[in-house]
Amino acid sequence: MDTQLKKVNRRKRISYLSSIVSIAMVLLMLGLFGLIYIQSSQLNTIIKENVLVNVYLADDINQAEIDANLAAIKKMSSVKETKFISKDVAAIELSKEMGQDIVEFAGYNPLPASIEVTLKAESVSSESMQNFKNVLLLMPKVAEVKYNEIIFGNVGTNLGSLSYILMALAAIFVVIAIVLINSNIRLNLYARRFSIKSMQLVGATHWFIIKPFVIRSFFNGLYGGILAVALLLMVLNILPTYFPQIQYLYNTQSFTVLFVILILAGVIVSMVSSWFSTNKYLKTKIEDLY
Amino acid sequence: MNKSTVIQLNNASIFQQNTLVLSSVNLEIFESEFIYLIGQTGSGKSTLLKTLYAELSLTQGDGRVADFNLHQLKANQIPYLRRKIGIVFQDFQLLTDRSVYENLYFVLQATDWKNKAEMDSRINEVLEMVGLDTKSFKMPFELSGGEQQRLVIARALLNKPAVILADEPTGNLDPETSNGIMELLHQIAKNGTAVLMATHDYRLINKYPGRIIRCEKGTISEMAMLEEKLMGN
Repeated sequence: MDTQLKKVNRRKRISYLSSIVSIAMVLLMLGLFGLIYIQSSQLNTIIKENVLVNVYLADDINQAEIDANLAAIKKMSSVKETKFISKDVAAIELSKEMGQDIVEFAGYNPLPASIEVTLKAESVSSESMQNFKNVLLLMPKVAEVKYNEIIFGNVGTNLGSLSYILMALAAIFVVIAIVLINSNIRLNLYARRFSIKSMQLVGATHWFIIKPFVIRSFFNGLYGGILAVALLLMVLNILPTYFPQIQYLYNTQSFTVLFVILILAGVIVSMVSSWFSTNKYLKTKIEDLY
Repeated sequence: MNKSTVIQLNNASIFQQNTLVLSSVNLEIFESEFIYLIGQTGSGKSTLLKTLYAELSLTQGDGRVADFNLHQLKANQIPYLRRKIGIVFQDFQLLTDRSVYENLYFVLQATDWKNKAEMDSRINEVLEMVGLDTKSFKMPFELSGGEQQRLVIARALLNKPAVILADEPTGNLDPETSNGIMELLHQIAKNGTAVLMATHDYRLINKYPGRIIRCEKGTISEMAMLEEKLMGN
């Protein structure tokens, strides 16, 4: 007898375990995609925030005007960082690059003083860059504003397209995840459809029948989510061994949000699927169960 | 002493989805009665039983089962109707992943019993009635067909129902086991619970006499004597 009971309990445990593993695998797939999305967004941000805008200043600009321009640029909401490069520093840097003293070669310092500006990623687009350039050109003693418009345009366009592709893929992956978790739960409940009907026929209310299935789904979703997060953490730990540069793209805050979303998705999708599937069998006529 | 009515149908039409199966159905069943529901396969026996336990709606005519008005029954009242009737199937429909005791305990939990001692006492009582008092720890698949059907009957008796609706309860059982089930059902009827049993087995009807209702030609009719019918055949 004990052996039979053990067999039944073992079968139940295997069924719960396979359900948890299935949910975890689907969430892992979704999580991996989430990681790719986060990493590409992070890369996008880094690329955008590394695009330099050079603000060249007139030769007759004085220190007070430089300070005023610097302060005005720093105040702009789209600006991330500024760096003033004097005529002398510019000459030294160019001389280093050329391997020859540019002042000695030209007989004078031909390079203007400039302010290097980097922008916040969210402010970077072809249109906003043009507006930014126009605003800078209106400042006193600003001779020229330069940035690589071609590269900039390509970065904007490519990253924009990539982001749309990733969003479309994200939507598809979310749908796939929901369908797979839902099918898994429906399959489990299909196996118990006669039990559900029996419960109904002995006078159990709908809620009394549904409750244990929904509670079980809550835990299956929770454990599945936790397992998926654990596997993702493993992936995140292993990746830098093979791709050391990737850890510069790691963003703990985004990862935490992703992990919470995955666990919540596991729990919510499981519970909702369980609710609907149980309800479906409660509404099905006996003869339609066969 | 007048016996109270547990089932009453007046000019009822019985539908299976949109198909009319039985019409002009008039039926009155009293407590302690044992009634056979006979008829060919597809004649509407099971459909009539399903209507009585509200698996199918009664949309035309009047019907009362254990003081519940079938015609005006709301979905949320159905569980409470089913607590007043016991349903017994040919294919048992037990919870196969729970022991005998757990099958019965589940029903009591589901029907708002709270006191564990009272629940245990009632479970022991019904198991004793059906002769399964030593098997409460067994799993359903460890029981014979007859024992499983006894367990189903025990389950049906838990809430002291006004009527037991049995759909071919001996259909899967050998003659000897069937006799045991019939004796049990008749004993239940004698104790006050009406039993309405759908069957094809005239041998059982002959051996354990009772009132006979026949489903035929889209309606039901009462048969006075089975012997007459058998002789006529």
